[in-house]
This record gives sequence, structure tokens and C-alpha cells, in this order.
Amino acid sequence: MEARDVHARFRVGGGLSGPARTLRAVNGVSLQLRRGEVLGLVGESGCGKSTLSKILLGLQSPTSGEVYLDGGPLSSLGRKHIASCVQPIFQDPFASLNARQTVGEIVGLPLRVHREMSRADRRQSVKAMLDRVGIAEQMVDVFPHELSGGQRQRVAIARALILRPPIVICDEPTSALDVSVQAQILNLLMELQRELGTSYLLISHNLGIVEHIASRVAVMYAGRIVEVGETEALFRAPQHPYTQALLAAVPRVRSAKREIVDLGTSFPNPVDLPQGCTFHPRCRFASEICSATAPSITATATGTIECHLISQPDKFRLSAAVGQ
Amino acid sequence: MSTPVSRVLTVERLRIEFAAGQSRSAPVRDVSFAIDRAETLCIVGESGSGKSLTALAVMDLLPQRAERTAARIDFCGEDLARASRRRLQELRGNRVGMIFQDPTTALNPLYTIGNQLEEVWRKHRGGSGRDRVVQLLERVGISGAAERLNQYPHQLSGGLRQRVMIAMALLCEPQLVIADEPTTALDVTVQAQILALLASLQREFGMALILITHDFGVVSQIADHVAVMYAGQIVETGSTRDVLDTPLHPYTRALLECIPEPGRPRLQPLGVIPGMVPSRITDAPGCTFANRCSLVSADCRRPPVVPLKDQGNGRASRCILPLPIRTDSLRAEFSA
Repeated sequence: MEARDVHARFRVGGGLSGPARTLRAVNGVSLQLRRGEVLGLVGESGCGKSTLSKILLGLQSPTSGEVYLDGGPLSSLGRKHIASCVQPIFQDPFASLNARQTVGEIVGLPLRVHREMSRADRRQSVKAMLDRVGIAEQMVDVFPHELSGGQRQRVAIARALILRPPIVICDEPTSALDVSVQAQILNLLMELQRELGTSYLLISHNLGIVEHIASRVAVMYAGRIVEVGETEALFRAPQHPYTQALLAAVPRVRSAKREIVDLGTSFPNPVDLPQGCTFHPRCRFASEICSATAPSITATATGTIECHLISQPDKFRLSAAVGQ
Repeated sequence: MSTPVSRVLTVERLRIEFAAGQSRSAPVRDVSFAIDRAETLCIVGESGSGKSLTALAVMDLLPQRAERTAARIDFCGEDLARASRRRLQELRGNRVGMIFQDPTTALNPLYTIGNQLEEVWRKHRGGSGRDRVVQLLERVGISGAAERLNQYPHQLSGGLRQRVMIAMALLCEPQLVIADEPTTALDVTVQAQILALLASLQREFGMALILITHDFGVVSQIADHVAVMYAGQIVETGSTRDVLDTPLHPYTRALLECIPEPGRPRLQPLGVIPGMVPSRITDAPGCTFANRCSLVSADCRRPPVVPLKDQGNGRASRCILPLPIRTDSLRAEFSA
């Protein structure tokens, strides 16, 4: 799956609240999800992660740009075809399961829509899938409210994977769960990914999770992907000043107190994005060029980066050292 | 027992019960802790561990149907367990500041933030206190504080609202601040700023800080001491580095192994605690963690309730097994 220069713009305001303005949620994203990989997507709230995930799921059309699925544009594919290839796992298992359907109906629905099979066969497949995600067979006729948060998320995973889709988009799959349950769910996701060869796009604000299970990581800021790299390289030596600040901000259990990078001003308003590089008002290394022109995408050893500093090696080395 | 002069709060044998029809539950049982001036204590646990109830119980802010008993809740020489409602109101927001998780619901949407901050000062110190409010807003990193006074909570970002909450809690220079998940609703970059701010304010004002969290990363960054809660009891307590580097209780150890962290082999299965936190908690013989513990033996389920045993060096653990257990292998795993 590949996104090419995807934009999502919304018109906000108009009428009584003043003239209509354009909110740029996704502002030119090009991103590849390779077969069988786990791609982590990280960024602060409001950076456009969720809008991008809706576009990739085909639930929303991009304002411009296109998403390609196996080389074919998503806009030319039918809803059913997209759904059989790309399935979601959402953040809140209390909201993502229909409260009026039993676990069996929820997990069986994709089969009912996409496969022609007898009721008995379907029930058998559902039970096998539930067993695979660690839900006892007897649970097939219970309603979601009888389940714990972890069990519900297991049901959501069963529903997403029952068609064996090549791509699953996991949007904060464990952020509503306790640490001990989170570990169970992450282990399950890793096992299934290896077993079925599924590609995951793992959207999370928890960098520990992304570092643990993703093979590549994309860092999103104000609607753009500012850095992509292989996980180990990116976490060992983050190159973009924003990635550095983001990684430095994560409190680690196994390290003593350390200095953080103060980003000063808050996240930019997507209605009124800064000129030039959108990160420059918060960047410690910003120079004149950063506020004047937007940086272009440059290739790195394991991915890409979008930053003027890459062409100024002296400053750049300094910045990389600080990020450690 | 003599109490050091710098002691700010001592809680002994706190217990909270709820009666629901015929059945009773006791989500907080036998909780004791103490905190000194300029010290940070983190109470850490999963949901349902009773950490938030414990925090609320100190200032008698529990829901009405909760029954609180305690041998002692001593705040600077004053017994809060027997204090009048009026006296508690004098202390709250004045000598004890509170910061809650969700700054969106903790502020009144109908009043400007200036209004809400000045109200605290007016109540406890008299006069408008406008200068003091502006000074404190600037101290917590809000630029253009004087203009911000006329803004309503919805006009501020989450990080700014949490800063307003912090300013409100610190307005009267309290001796104790109780913060319940103050950064959980915020982005990591904002969280880092808020934690750094709390630490620097603590250096400046010398207040004792009790921080409730579920995030061991936050504990590692900010706490001097930590109390780990499970199913209503403190199962382990000690200085932060001791507890995080060489956990004694099987629950603490298992929980730390669940956390994806750098240094842990990538893509490998994380540690798992089978089962889940008990939903309704009452007094049970033996150990409350026995059903999920990998080291469980028949003795673990026998009465009496396992006590919190002193392990020396200011550490204590609620486990009948001889300790410490194989902490070396854990260290080796992470030093690689």
C-alpha cells in the first residue's frame, strides 16, 4: 500500500464565526507500507495521524493525492474490495464493538459479507478465530458488556483478522488498556503478524510500543511525515530535531532522570500553519532558511528526512549528539 | 515513635469500604505511607488498584457512600481523620493543593480562569490577589498571563489548562500537593514539560508532592519514593531506583517486565501477568496477588492477610517468599 502526496483539507468556520478557513490535517504525505512489515506512525495529538488512517482505510477520500493498493488507486476500488484488504483495530474497545450484537455476530459479520458459507461453517470459523486470539468458545454468545477491556480488544482483533486481510491498521490498539493487559495484546498482535504475514500500520503515541514491535517508523508532524527510518537506526540516532525532542520527552523506566528538550510554544494550529518548515518555531536549530522555504525530502541511510539541517553537516552533527 | 520535623503527611492503616446492598467491598485496605518536605512520592498501580481513592481519602473527598477509617492521617501535626468539614475546607487549596487528571473537567467552563484563580486567593487569604495570580501564571510558563486571565478554559490547550490547574494548586504555597495522573491526558512532549515544571516548583517552594500514576516512566523521572499498589494494598514500597532496578515483590517485577522499553530485545514477547485485576475487592486470606503470581504456593492462600514486611533500607514488600529473588538475572537482561 502506498500513499502519494495525500492531502486532506477541511473548511472550517464561515457564517457567523467569520470567514471560512482551510484546515490542513494531512499536508502532502507520501508513505509506503511494505508487504509483511510493521510500520509505526508516531506524532502528537492533532498531527493528522487519525485522518491519515481514515484515508488509508478508504473511509475518507483525500482532497488531493491518491492511495494505491497493490498498484491500483483506492478511489477506483469498491468499498467491499477495500474492506477485504484493509481492516482496522481501533483504540477504544468499549466504543468499537456493537453493544447489541453477540461476540459471534461481531466476529462473523465480515464472513457474512465477504464469503459465501453456511451458518454452521461460519460459526466454526468464528470459534476457531476466537480460540486463536484467546477467547474461550463459550464466549461466542455473550455480549460485549460482559467482557473486560482486554477481552474486547481480542474480539476486535479477531474481527479484523478473520478475513486474513493483507493489511491491518491499528490505531492506538492498547492505549485504553492497563500495562499488564497491554503486554498480552501486543504479544498477540506480534504472534498473529508473524503467523499470517500481515502488514500492520501501527499508530501510537507510545514510543516504547512502536520501538518494540515496528520494523520501520514514520514520524508525523503538522500533517507531514518529517522522518522515516528503520526502527533501530531511528531510535539510536534520531536525525530530525522534532524526532529528537519527541524521543527525549519519553520518560524511561530504566534510566535515571535526564534533561528534556523544551519545545517551548505549543503545537501549530492546522488552520494557520507556519511558513517554511512547519516545525521551525519550536526548533532549536532553526535558521533563516527554515522560516522562508519548506525543506524537501532527502534520503537517509534507512529512510527519508525533511529538514534543512541535513545539508548543513556541522550543525547537524551537533544536533544528533544532543539527541542521544 | 518520634516524628521528624520535616514530616508533612503520615497516613496509617487507611481503609475505604463501599456498601452495595448486602455486599461490601473494600477497595483500599491497610494503606500506610509518609512523606517529608520537598519529597516526591509516587503511588503507582493499574486501574482498580485503589490509588486514586487513596489520594482522595487524604482530604476527605471520597464519594458519600464510601466509608473511610484510618488509625492516623497526620498533616503537619494535625489529625485530618478527625478534622471538621470546616477545617478541611480551610486546608484544601490553601495548605494542601490538588491537581486532577483531566484539566478539561476540573475547571469551570463558565468562569474565566482569572476568576477561578482569584476565587481561591480571596477565600483563603482575602483581597483580589490579582498580582499573585499573574505572577504564578508566569511562573508556570504561561506567556501573556495578564491577558490570559480573561480567557475561558475552552480557549486554552490541554497543556495550558493543566498549567492553570498547577498554578491554582500552588497559589497559596501549600505544604503538600496531591496530583492524580496530572499528565495522563497530555502528549509526551507536554508531559515532559509539566513534569519538569513540577520538579522545579518543588525545588523553589519545598512542597511535598504525592503523584498518582500508572506510568512507571513518570515514576522513574520524578519520584524519590514509590509505593506500588495492587488490588487495594501497597505491595511494595521503597526508594525509586531500588524498586525499579531490583523489584522485590513478584507483582512489581512482573509489571516491569510488561513494559516495552529500550534495552529489552525487540520483537520478543513481553512479560505477561495472566488473568486480570480483581473487579470486586474484599478481605481475602493470604495474598491478593496469589491467583496471578508465577511463584505461587499453597502457603500464599492461607490466612492471615500477608503483611507489608520491612526489608531494610527503607524498603518493604508484601510477600511471604524469602527475598530477594533472582533480581540479578533481571539486571543482567537490561545491562546488555
